[in-house]
Amino acid sequence: MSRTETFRYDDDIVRKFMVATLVWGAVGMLVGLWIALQLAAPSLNVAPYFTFGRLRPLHTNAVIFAFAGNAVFSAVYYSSQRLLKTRMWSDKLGRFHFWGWQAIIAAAAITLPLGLTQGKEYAELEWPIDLAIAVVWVVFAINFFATLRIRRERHMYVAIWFYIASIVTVALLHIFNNLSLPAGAFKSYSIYAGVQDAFMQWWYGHNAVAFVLTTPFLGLMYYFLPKAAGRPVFSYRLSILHFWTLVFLYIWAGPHHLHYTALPAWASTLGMVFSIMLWMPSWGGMINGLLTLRGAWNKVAEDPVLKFFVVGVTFYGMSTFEGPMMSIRSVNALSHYTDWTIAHVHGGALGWVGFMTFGMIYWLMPRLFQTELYSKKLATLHFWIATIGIVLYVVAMWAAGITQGLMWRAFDETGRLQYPDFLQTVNRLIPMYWVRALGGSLYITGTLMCAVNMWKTWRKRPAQYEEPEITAPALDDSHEEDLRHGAAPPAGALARVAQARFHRKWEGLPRLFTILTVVAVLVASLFEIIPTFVIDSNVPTIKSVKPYTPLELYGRDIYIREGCYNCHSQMVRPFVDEVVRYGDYSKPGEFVYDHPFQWGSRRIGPDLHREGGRRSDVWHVHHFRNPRSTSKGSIMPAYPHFYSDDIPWDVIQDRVDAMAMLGVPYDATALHDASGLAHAQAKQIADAIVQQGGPAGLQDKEVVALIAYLQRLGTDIKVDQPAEAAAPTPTAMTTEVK
Amino acid sequence: MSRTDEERLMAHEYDGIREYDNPLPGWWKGIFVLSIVWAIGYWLYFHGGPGKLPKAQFDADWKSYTVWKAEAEKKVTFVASEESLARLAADPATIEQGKKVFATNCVACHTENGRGNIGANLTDDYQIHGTTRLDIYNTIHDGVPEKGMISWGPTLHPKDLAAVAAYVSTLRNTNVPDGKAHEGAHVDPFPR
Repeated sequence: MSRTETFRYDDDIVRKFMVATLVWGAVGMLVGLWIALQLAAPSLNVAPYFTFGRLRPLHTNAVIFAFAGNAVFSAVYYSSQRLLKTRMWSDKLGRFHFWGWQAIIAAAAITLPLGLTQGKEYAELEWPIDLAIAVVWVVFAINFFATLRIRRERHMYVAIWFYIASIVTVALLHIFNNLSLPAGAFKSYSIYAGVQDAFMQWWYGHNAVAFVLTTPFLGLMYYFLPKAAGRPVFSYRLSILHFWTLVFLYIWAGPHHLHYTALPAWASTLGMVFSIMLWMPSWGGMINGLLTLRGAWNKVAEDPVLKFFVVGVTFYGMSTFEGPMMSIRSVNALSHYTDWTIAHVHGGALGWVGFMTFGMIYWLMPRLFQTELYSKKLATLHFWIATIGIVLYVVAMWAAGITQGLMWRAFDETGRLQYPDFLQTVNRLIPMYWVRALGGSLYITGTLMCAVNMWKTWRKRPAQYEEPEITAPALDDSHEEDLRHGAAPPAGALARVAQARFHRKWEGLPRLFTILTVVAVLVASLFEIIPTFVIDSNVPTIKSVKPYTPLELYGRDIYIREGCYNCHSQMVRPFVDEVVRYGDYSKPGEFVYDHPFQWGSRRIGPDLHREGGRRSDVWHVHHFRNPRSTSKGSIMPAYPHFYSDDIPWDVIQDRVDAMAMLGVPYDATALHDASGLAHAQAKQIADAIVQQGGPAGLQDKEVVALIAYLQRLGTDIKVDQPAEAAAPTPTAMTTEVK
Repeated sequence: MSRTDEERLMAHEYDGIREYDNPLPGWWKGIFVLSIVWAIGYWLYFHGGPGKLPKAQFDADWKSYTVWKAEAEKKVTFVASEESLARLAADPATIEQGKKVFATNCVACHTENGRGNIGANLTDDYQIHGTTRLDIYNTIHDGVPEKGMISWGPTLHPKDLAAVAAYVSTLRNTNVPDGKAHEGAHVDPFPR
């Protein structure tokens, strides 16, 4: 018999993370409502800091990393201590983790509106903040794995498996997607370009969904749902199988975000088939959640905690069916770049992540504040109002997405686009944007109700929190428990495998378990990453594609700074309607100097990859000052600062030098006098603007740099062609490809 | 022989959480296996098999589109000539239609009454490209890319294009106030 030890749980750290979850949740959602309203009423854009392009990254980062992130940490710190029967290894590291993470969020909230961004979705934060994230994450990992070492429970419960997978994989994703070369204190360029950058970004982006928004929340579910229901988990064997299949298969699915792009077809197919195979592993989690409630459904009727969990898990099931469906190429052809994607992510974010978080918070509140919940009624009302909010939100966005997708591809009887003006397809959506904003408002109202409930409950807390003493036997080595009540180990190896006895062993060996998880994730990643980087035929060279001029490069930096990629794609897909609308479809070789790539993921405005030469310079001058002056009904923000802010000529050389270090072949002039080249080109464009009847005196203004970039976009492949071939007829078959 | 839930309850317990040793649902296993089989089949069909990957599919689609479009074009193309445009310019219904097309597509650059802004003044008696109604039609149809005039032929319905050309021709020499300065060469008003 081993000796008994006494210890206390650290609940103070959980209280901290829980409060932070709700505070950042409210902030992130309010920013979401703001940008939703900006689409319905563009006057709500306040340039330069609060335009859609700068606020949307703030919304996504706040909701993913601040709201969901803090929720995950609350769950991990609360449940791990109890599942492992030990206090966290270090209180100090826990505090460092907490304050470090909040500081990172605050830094994000300041830098994103300032336009400091890497220009990659959900990886916008610039390199100094990325380094801080890496440090804080490693501290968290050290504290977590050290806690595993000092555990008093031999075997790790399934929730812990999911936490392990999340912690190691997020570290890998974050580090490898954010590798970049600094070109200033808060400016950097991705070391990858074009096709490879897109691949890495969506390897990261998709698996951020997997390992920030899915696996840790499954861990959360496995602890809090059976606790709240008071019922055993439905199936241990299902836990094992769906854990490993989920972790292994998820990693492959990233390329389904890049169907019909310049990404090679083999990668796109892999992303798709693995998404389909991912359906049942995901549903394994849903089944284990819902069937655990067998015999507890009567409790669901009265307990708001279980209500949140039931609807949360149901949305998980719905989203993980919808996701594989949308990954099917022919479905994706319609859904991609539309609001359908927005509907999909919000089903997952509001339904699954949000409701699992709220369920957990309502369950934790009385336990952490050591008093009764202030109002169960208010919690129930929160549940209903938020549920209605999600339904309105998701249905409106489905309708908007399908409407716009169908309008883009509609032809009239003469073979012309039925809606040649992109704005026609935008203005049709405005009523649905109002419904979405209403749904979002309801959801936020619920969140604020939760905040009131928390405030009032906290006010009732005891003067001094009790920290009950826990006793548990220390871990000893002589320990091989039987799997089942009274059952002898089955004879024969096959029967042992079927009953997952080998796995029971792994559960007692955290180091082995972690290594196996890393292997699963890495093997899956490398199978896709290595061919993407080493096979030359993925990106056939196009001789006429040249680096951006120094002025164009700075214009591109403005494009990134303003977050244009949040509304404009730069990727004409090989569809008849897109080739008719925009011009020849995009080729992989056209993006070789794009550090980072800017293909985008949503077309709130038209694609811009073939924008070069479509309109006069003076049109852009008028358009940026007031988009409504040239495009009636446009919902794009106005950019008055493009006309008042001077181009910072002295930074241009640094930017060019950084690009050169990444292997962009600039010539000697650009490497020695980038600013001189930029000045000359700016003068040329400013003169052209005057000649076209536009305002004088723009040669030092930012608008000129952005126009230089836009007029260059997608024009390089036309250079070698005779004049008549440059007409809008597609040149798919005639492009010179070496 | 199915066991009761109680018999399936496993011995271990974590912070009060127990687990059943229930078997995997049959339908779950079935669909999972099917999805794997399907994934392999899909791969073989599209990579090495008869399936058309996006670019090949596009080439085929584009071919059939151009054939279809050529046919469709034959049926609806408006044969533009000085006479046909003059006839349309005299038809009030066409002018009304042309006005609508103008309001949707042209006002951004030429302003609501045609006085010009980014685009040329359409109401003076000067013309940059040619002199006739047919020249107006062709300018609209083909555009002047170097000056930012969009080529509307591929996007506007032929009837709409003819209507808007006819409408624009009626603006000449109406000389609305605040018009943009003259550009191009002096032209005579169209006979009414």
